[in-house]
Amino acid sequence: MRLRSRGPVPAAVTMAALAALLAGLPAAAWSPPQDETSAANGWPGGPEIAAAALRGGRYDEAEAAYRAALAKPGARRGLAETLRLTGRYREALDVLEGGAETVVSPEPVARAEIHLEIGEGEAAERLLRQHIERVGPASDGNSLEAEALLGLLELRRGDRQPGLARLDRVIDAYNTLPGAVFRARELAAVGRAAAALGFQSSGLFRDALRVFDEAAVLDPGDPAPRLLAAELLLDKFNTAEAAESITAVLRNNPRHPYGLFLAARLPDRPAAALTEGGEPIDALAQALAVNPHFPPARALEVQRLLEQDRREEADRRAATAVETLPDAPETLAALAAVRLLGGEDSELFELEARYLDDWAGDPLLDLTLASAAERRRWYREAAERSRAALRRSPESAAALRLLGLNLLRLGDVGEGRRVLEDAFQRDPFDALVKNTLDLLDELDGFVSISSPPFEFVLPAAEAEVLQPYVEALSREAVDSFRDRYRYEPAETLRIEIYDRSADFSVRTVGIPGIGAHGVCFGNVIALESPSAREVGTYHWASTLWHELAHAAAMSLTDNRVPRWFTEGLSLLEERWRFGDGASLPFYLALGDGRLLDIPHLDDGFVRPTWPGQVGVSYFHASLVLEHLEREYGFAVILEMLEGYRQGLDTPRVIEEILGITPEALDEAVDTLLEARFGATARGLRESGPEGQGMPAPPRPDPDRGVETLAARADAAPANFALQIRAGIALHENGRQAEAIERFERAAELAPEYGGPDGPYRYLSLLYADAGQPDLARLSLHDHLKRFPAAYDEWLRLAAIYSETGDPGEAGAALTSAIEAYPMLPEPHERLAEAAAAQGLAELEVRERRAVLASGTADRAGALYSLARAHFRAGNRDAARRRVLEALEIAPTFDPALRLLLDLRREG
Amino acid sequence: MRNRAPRRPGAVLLCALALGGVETEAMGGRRENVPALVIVAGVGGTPGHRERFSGWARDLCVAAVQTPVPGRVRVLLERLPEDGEPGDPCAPVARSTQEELAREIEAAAGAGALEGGLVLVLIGHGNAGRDPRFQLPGPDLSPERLGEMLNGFGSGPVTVAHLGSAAGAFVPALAGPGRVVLAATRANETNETRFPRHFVAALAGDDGDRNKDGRLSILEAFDFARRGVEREYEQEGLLRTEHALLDDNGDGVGSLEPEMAAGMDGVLAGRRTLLVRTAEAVADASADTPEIRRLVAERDALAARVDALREAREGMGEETYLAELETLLLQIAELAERIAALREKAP
Repeated sequence: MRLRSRGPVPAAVTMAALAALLAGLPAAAWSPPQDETSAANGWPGGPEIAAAALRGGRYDEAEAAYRAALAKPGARRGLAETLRLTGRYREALDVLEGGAETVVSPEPVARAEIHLEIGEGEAAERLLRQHIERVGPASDGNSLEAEALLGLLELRRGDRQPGLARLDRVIDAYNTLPGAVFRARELAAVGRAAAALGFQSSGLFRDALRVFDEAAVLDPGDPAPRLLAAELLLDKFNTAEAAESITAVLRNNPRHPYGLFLAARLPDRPAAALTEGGEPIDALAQALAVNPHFPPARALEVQRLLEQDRREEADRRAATAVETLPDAPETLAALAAVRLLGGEDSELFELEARYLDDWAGDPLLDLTLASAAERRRWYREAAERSRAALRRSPESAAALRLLGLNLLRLGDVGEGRRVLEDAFQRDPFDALVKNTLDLLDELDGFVSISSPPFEFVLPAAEAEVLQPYVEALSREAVDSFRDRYRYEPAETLRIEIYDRSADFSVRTVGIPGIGAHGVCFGNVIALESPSAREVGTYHWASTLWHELAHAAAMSLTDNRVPRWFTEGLSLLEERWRFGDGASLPFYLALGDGRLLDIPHLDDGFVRPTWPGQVGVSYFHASLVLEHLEREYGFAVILEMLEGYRQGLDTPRVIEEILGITPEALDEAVDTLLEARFGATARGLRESGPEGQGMPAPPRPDPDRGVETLAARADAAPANFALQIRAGIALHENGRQAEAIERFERAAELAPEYGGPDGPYRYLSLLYADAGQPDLARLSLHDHLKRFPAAYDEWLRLAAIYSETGDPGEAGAALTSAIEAYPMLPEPHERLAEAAAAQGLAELEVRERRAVLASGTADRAGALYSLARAHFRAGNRDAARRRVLEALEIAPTFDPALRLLLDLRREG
Repeated sequence: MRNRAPRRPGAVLLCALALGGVETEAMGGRRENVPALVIVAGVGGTPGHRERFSGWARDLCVAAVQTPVPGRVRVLLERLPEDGEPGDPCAPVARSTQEELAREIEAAAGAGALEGGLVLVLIGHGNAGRDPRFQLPGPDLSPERLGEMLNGFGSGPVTVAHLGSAAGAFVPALAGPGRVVLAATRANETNETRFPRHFVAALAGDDGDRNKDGRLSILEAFDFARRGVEREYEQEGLLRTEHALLDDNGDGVGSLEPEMAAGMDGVLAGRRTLLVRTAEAVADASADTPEIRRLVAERDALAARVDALREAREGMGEETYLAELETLLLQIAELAERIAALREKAP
C-alpha cells in the first residue's frame, strides 16, 4: 500500500533516508488553528498574542493570556498545550476535561495524546475509542487522527493485527477522500501511520515525509510535522536533514522541548549547524529546563549518565522520573537499563513485567536494554535483547539492525550479514545498515587467515606484506598479556584490517568519519591498515597492541571495565612497548585546568566538550594507570580489573581496592602531573595565545618572521612551543647554531613532548650536519621514543648504525620502521641485506617476500633475491619456483639463470 | 647545477663526439641503432617550476649520455643559462621555442636518424580544452603543429613522450603507424604532473629494466613511471589526478595499462629501446666469434619461446606450464654459461 500523491509539495523536508517508526512518538504539538485565532473577538490582548507567545516558547506569557480568556474558543486547548509543553500534564488534562465537548470536539484526542505522552495507554485508548464511536470511523474522514493514534497504540500494546488494519484504514481514507478535507494535524497523523507501516513497503517512509511536508505547508506555524519528520530522519541516521528540520523549529521556538530533545540526539557536527557557528547549546539541559518531566528527555539524560559510568546518579534520576510519571515507557526503560548494568536482576525482572503488562508489543524496552548493553560493550547481551525486541515486534528494523551489528561484533559474520540483509529489506533507508552491508560486500575481496588463536582478515592486495608482521606482533602481545595479566583468549581473536579509513569507520560505528585508528569489540578487533594513512602519521603496530590490550581487559572483566580504565591501560601498554610523548593539547589542558577528575574521566572519551579532549583523555588516563602501578604495584591493577568484573563502579573500586577516596587519588595524580608537566604547561602561558599552537615555520616573509620569532622566544624563555617555532625558522634560514640553542632549550623545557615536530628531530639533523654523529644518533633515539610513527627517522637511524658497523642495531631500527609503515620496499630490502650478511636466512626470506609484496618496481630482481634467500635457507622447492617466476619475466637474466643451474645440479 | 655521478663508471662512454650521429659505435665496436633524443622543457611560469623542468631535462639527458650507446641528445630550455661548462653534452642547444623545436626535429631526421628514430620528450605545462596546447616560449605548441613537424619521419620510429598536464589531448593527433605516443595524463587532467620525476628515475636507475635484458624499452619506462605515480598517490591517501596513457597501435586511443599482447597498445613500445643500460646488452653481436654469435642467436630464440609460452599459459595446466618453462630456461641457462665461458676465453 502506498499513499496517493497529491501533487508537488515544497521541499521543506527533503527525503534521503527514513526508518520504521513503530513506537512512541511524542504527541504532536498542538498549535492554535488559524481560523480560531482570526475569528475570535474580545480576548484580553487578543488571541494572536497568546498564540504568538505559545509558538515562540514564551510559556508564562501564553499561560497568562489563555487563562485570562478561558471561556473563549480555543483558549482551553491553548492553555492545555502550554501546560503539556512545560510538563504540567495533570493540570493540562484537568483543563481539557473541564471544557464542554461537542460532537466534533477535538478535546478527547488532545487528552489521549497527553495520556500517551505520560504512558497511560489504557486511558488514551478509552478516549480514542469513545471519540471514534462518537464521530464515526476514519473512512468518513472524521476521526483520522484518533484512528491513527489508536492504531499505533494497539501495535504497542500487542494488538498487532487490529492495529495494522486500523493504520491501513487511515491510509485508505487519505487515498480516497478529497485532499481539501484534511487539516495539518490529520496529515501528521497520516504520516505517522505511513511510517509505522514502512516495513511493509519502503515507499511508505517517503510517503510519510511527504505528508509531513504537506502538513507543514498547511500550517507553517505548527512545529509537529517538522519534528515528526526530523525524528524519522534521525532514526535513519540522516542527521544532516534532521538538523535542518530541527533548526527550522527552534528558530521559531528555541524553547520547544521536543525540538530541543531531538537536537540533543544529533551528533556533534550537525548539532553545530543549530547555532549557525555560535556557541554550542546543551539542548538536553534546555529541554529539561522547559519540561522537567518530559519522558524521552529524562530517558536520554539517564542514558548519558550510564555512558559516563555515573550509575548512582543515573539510578537517582531514573527512579525520580518513574516516581513522577510511573507509566512513562521511556523512563521505565531507562530505569530498567540502570538495573541491567547494575546487575540487579530481580529489580530488572520486575520492571520488565510491569512494562510488558502495558506495552506487550512495544520493542522500546528491549531496544533500550540492547543499546545500553551495546554501549557497555556487552555485545552478547545486546544481541539477546535485540532478539527479545524482535519477539515483541517482528517488523522492527531497528531491532534487526542492532542484532545484526552486534553479531558482527561477536565475530558471527555470516548470521550478522543475514540479519542485516533482512533489516535492509524492511528498511532500505537505514544508513548504518546500508553502509555495513556495502562493507561486507567489500570483505569478499579480503583474505581470511586462520592461525589459532587468531583469525586475520586482511585486504587481499596487502595480505602478503602484512600477515607476517601482524601475526608476529599479535602473538607477542598476547604472550605479554598472558604473563602480566594471566589473560588467555577464550575464543578466536578476529583481527580485521581495513585499507580504507571509511570502511574501518563503517565497521566501527556504521558511518564514515570516525577519528580513531582501531577498535576492539572484545574478541573482534578492527583497525586501519598502515596504507590507509600517510606515511609517518600512523603507527599500526602500537594500535594493534593497544587493541589487543583492550581485548585482555575486556575479557578479564567480562566487558565491565570502564572506558577510561581500559583506554589508560591500553595506552600505558602501548607506551611501554613502543614509546609515546605528551602532546601540546595535553600541556595546554593541564595548564588551563581542563583535565577531568577521575570519576568523570569517561566523559572525556564519551562526550567530549572541546576539540582534542579525547586524545588528551587517553594520555591522562594512562598517567593515572602509570601512577597506580608505580604507587601500589602491578597487582593492584589486576585487583581493580577484578573489582570491575564484579560490577563495582570506579568510585567503589578506588575505595575498596586502593582504600582511599576518589578525591584522594585525584589529588595524588594531580601532584604527579604537577611535578612532571606543571612547569612546562605554565611556561606555555608566557607569551599568551600567540605562543600556543603547533610549531609552524613563518610564512611568507621568512627574514622578518625569523627575527620576530627569535625575539618572542627570547622574551618567553619557558615557552617550549615558541622555542621550537623559532628553532625551525632559524634552521630554515641557515642559522644552525642559534637553532640548536632553541631546540636544546625546548627539549629541556618539555622533555616528554612527543609531537612530530619535537625538538630532538631537528637536533638530530643539526648535530649530523655539524659532524656530531653520536649526538645525532642519541637525538634520533630521543625523538623516536616520543614519536615512534616517524618512519623516515627510523630509516635514518638504521643508516647511521649501518655506517658505524652495527648491523644488530641497524636491524632493530629497520624493524621499528616496519612497525611504523611496512608497505614500502626500502626497510625490507635493507633488513634482508642485513639478515643475509648475518646469515639469518629465515629472516631474509621473510623480508624478501615483503619486498616482493610491497610492489617493488624491480619484480624480476626481487623474485631472484627471494629465490636466492630460499636457496640459502634450504627451501629448494620454493627457490626453484621463485627463480622460474623471475626468469619468466626476464629470461636472459644471468644471475637467475646461474641459480637455476645451481638448483638443478645440487638437486 | 645538478650533477649525477655515473652509476657504472666502467660501462659508460661520456663522449661528446658520439652525439652528432645516430648510429653510434658501442663498446666492442658494434654499430647500434639508438634513437635521437630531443628534450624540451617548456615555460615554467614560476622560478620553481622553471628550475624543476630544466632539472628533469638535464637528468634525462645525463641518463641518456651515460649509457654505453649514447645517441644524439639535444636539450631545449625556456631560458639559456648565462654560463655553461665547456664540453657539457647536456648543455641546452637552444631555447624551447616552436622554431627551434622544428629545427631540431628536422635536423634529427636529416642527420640519418630514420633508422634509430626519434624520441621527443616534452616537459612542462599543457592546456586542456578545445584548443589544447603545450606551453613554449612564444607561440604555444598545438598537437597538429607538432604532427606537421614530425611528418618528415613518415612511418619511421618516432616516440613522443608528453610529460606535462593535459598531455592526453596530444594522443589522437600524433598517433599513427610507427608512432609511440606516451602521455602523462588524460586530456582533461590539468594538475601539475608527478609522472616526469618517475620517468626520469626509470632512465637513471636500474629498476626500470623489468626484464633485465640491459635495455630499457619505452614500455618499461612508461610502466615504471605509471606505477610510481600510482604508488605515490596511494601512500599519500590522495585521489589520483593523473592517469598516464600510451598509444602505439595507431588508433589514437591511449591505454592506461598497455601490454605486449597482440592487438593491444604496448607491443611496439615493448620492442622499442629507449636506451641501452649495460654494455653486455650490445656486446652480444659485436666482437664475438661466430660460435658465440650462433649461441647468442640460439639463446634469443629460446627467450622468444619463453615469451610465446607465457602468452599461451592460460590454456595450460600449471604443472605443465612450469615444466615446459623450466625446460626452456635450463636450455637458456646452459647456453648463457657456454657464452660466458667462450667470451672469457676470447682474446
